[in-house]
Amino acid sequence: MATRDEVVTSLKETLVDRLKVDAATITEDANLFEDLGLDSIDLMTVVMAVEEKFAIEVSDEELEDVTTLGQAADLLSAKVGTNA
Amino acid sequence: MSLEGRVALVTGAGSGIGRASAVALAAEGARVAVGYRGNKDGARETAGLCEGSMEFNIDVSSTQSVAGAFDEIEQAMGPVEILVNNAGITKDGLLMRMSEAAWDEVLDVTLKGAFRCTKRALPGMLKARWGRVISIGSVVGTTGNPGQANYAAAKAGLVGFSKALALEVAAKGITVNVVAPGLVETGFIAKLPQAAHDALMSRVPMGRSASADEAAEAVRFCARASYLTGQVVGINGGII
Repeated sequence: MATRDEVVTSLKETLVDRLKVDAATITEDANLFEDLGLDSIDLMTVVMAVEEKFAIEVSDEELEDVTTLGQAADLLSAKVGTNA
Repeated sequence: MSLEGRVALVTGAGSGIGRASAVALAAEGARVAVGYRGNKDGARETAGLCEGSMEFNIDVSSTQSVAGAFDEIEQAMGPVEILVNNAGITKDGLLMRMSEAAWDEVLDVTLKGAFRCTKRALPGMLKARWGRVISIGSVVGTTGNPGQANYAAAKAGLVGFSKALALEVAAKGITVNVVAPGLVETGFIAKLPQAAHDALMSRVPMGRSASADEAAEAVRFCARASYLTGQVVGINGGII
């Protein structure tokens, strides 16, 4: 079973590699939209990469309340726990 | 050549506007995946006209077929960077006599087919931060045409689809446009009932139909143009 740390690592990798986010700005409390400059398509891109990597699925509704990296990691790692 | 090395998929490229689009993109240096469903011979002929191209069987009415074809294309040629949603069918008839099947099939291929292909192509385009989605609409999507309520709805649907998607991905280097031809001399048009054909022709200020190449010129333009998105490029001889 993947740990939350693995999910965080995967999220960070996607943010840096795919979306060219400056690694230094990424913290768990950083607001994905205001601090990291993501838009909804970017968030989907990140989430889909993690979904694919860990073979999980999250719904758009579940993502509605996600604004920070930490929240995304909580949501996704909980899925990994149940689906793995 | 401005599209040198880009991978383009044209669905329904075994004849007509699809073939002409494939040829036009290949002339710009694109490597074309020639999509076909039934017309394998036509697709082979198209591929023969496009340097560096390959044919792929793709039934846009099947999500599975679309997924399989994209997998094959990605393996053989790389991710699709230019998608031309050209595959479409007609099942004409007055609405009062139109079966649900005739409605569903036309919408499923002509409109939902574009949804299936575009959805499958988008992740690669987002990753590359570059992409072109060009859907072949029709003047009847704006003007209507008796006997084609299903087809006109599907073609009008492509416009709304494209405008919405254009907004979603505008900041990602991906443009989404519609090329909406009027009367084009292809086998597709030749199969129209004479009355429908005449009704269309009487509305063309230029008084003639377009060649498939003239329609494909707009596809080439949309593939090259970097600041054009969410637009409908009418190729219709002046029909307003």
